[in-house]
Amino acid sequence: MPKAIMQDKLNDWLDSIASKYQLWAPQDKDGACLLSPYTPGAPVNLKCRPQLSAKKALFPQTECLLKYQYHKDKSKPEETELSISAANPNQKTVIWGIAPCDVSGISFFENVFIGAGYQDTYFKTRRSNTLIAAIACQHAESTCFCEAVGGSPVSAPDADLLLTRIDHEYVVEALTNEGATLIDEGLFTTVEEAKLNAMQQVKEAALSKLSKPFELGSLPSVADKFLKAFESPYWKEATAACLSCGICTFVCPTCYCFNITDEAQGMHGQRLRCWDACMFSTYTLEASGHNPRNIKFQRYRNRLSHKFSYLITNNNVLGCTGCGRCIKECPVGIDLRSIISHILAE
Amino acid sequence: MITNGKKYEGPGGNPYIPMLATVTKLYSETPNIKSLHVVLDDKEQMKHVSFEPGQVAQLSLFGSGESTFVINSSPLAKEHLQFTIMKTGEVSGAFHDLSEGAKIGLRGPLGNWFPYQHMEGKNIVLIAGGLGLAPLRPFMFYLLANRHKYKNIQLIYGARSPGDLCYSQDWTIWREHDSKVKITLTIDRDVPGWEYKVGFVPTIVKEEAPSAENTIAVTCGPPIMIKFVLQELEKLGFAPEQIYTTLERRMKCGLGLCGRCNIGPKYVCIDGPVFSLAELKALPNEL
Repeated sequence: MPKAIMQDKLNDWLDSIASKYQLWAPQDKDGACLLSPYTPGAPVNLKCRPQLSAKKALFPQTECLLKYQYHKDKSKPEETELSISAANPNQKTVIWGIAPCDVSGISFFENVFIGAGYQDTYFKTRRSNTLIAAIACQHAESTCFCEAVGGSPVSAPDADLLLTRIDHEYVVEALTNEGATLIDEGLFTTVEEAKLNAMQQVKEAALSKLSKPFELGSLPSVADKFLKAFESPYWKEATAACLSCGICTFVCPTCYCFNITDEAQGMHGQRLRCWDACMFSTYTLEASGHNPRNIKFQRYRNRLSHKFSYLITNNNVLGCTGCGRCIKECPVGIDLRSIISHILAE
Repeated sequence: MITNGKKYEGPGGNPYIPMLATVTKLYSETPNIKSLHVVLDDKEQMKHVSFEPGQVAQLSLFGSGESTFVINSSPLAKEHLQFTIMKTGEVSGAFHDLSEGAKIGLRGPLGNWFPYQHMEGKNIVLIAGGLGLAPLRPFMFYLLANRHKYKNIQLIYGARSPGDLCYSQDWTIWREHDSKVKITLTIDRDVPGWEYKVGFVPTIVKEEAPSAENTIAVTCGPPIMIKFVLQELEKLGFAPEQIYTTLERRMKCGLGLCGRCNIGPKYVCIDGPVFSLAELKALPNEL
């Protein structure tokens, strides 16, 4: 049975979680709502949808893959030994208070990073040590379209807990046994039928708020339409204003492209993985000078075709959760929804 | 896609982690191209090392970075793995500055290879320009070691000048192999003392006019050369299914995850680097 917790008890609950786990929670910081590491007692904000997606909790913007060390024996200077050690990010973690679209983003990463192909050891280690407490989203913005891409603002089947706000109280449903262990009995009350009905009503109201800008159709048909539109002159027109700034990839819960570089400090150093962006012209620039995606429309076309065609072909998954962040943050007002609608109609 | 289902597991099951290795030999092929012999530090692993002609590996020079290179030694020889590196960027430049005994990392083999079983009983034409011979070198070793399975073999190999031709110690031996192995060498512009063909590789392909009848053509070289070679081959009657090439793209992970080497839904690192022209024609035109 679900339990309920009063808003003024949330910090007690979070303090208790934070004593056992690394905890991420949405908080107001520097004038923005961000999913950040929680420090005991800090106010959390469950009425916002953080500006950046939750991917950074499991796929950090910069992370160490390995450390290396050269060893020089001064008595035999011509021989240098080398040792390397892999990073092991196995800290127990809870990601708390994220919207269902961001939970979908994490499920998407599972499909790509620990699905059928090569396993991403670092993501896998983090994910297997992480619990997710989602919150039913009641603050749909004008840019939200999760339902149009198969999501729902009020259900998160891949989370461990689902919170629903009713006035000054949160009803908490445990979706997994591990999630249930996070519910600290002393802080929670039992939930009566009237409250369950109220929860249902809150969820239904949230659903009715969403716009549905397009009818997607079956995933294979979407993949096919984007592939057929590859040579369409529309891509140039749609991206004429694009600055190649890459903010769409930065805020996107499913953009996962990365770069790998070495950072040396004398005889030792580390290999780092950092977020990269397919919208940058240097992303595919080869040492010879050749660049297969030299022009911005080619890069944007690849980004969308990846999300709406190639990922369907390879992983049977759509690379969009409908969070709308790319629309909200784009400095020149490129609206993904209208581009999707256009390609689907072409 | 041709795979044997074998993936690079990596130490501790982590495919991002290289195996440690030592550079045992380093020598110049041309003024800006060096070959290196690499031996894995784990002797057991080196004993069981196995790769297919056309497969690649990621070489690490810790502190400089990691880049993808084709394994160009014979797939039948186990004493070392050979790589050939053109000095082009930061990592390749750092490899050029190494000396014998240097410690490096190796992840591989990665990617697919030339589908040599499907080519049995056929004539083989290999067409290479410059360092484009590197991926064809292990394939040539394979073909010669399995000579009875293949009919006529011709290698058309060109470079700007005689000094830009790689692997001279190999093709001087290959052309003595038997009467049905033909090596055609060409340089872009004539120089005194040069006794072979003169002209761009596509022109020589046209001149040599290998028959498309029961033949497979495999080509690798600069993109512009490949483009015109493909045109000549199609004029000679080669069907897209009879032509293979091996592609290069900027790569990082080599595992199909970092995103940059895709052509449509295919990743050059895991679905390639070897593609038939028929496969490429089915993909978005983004070479």
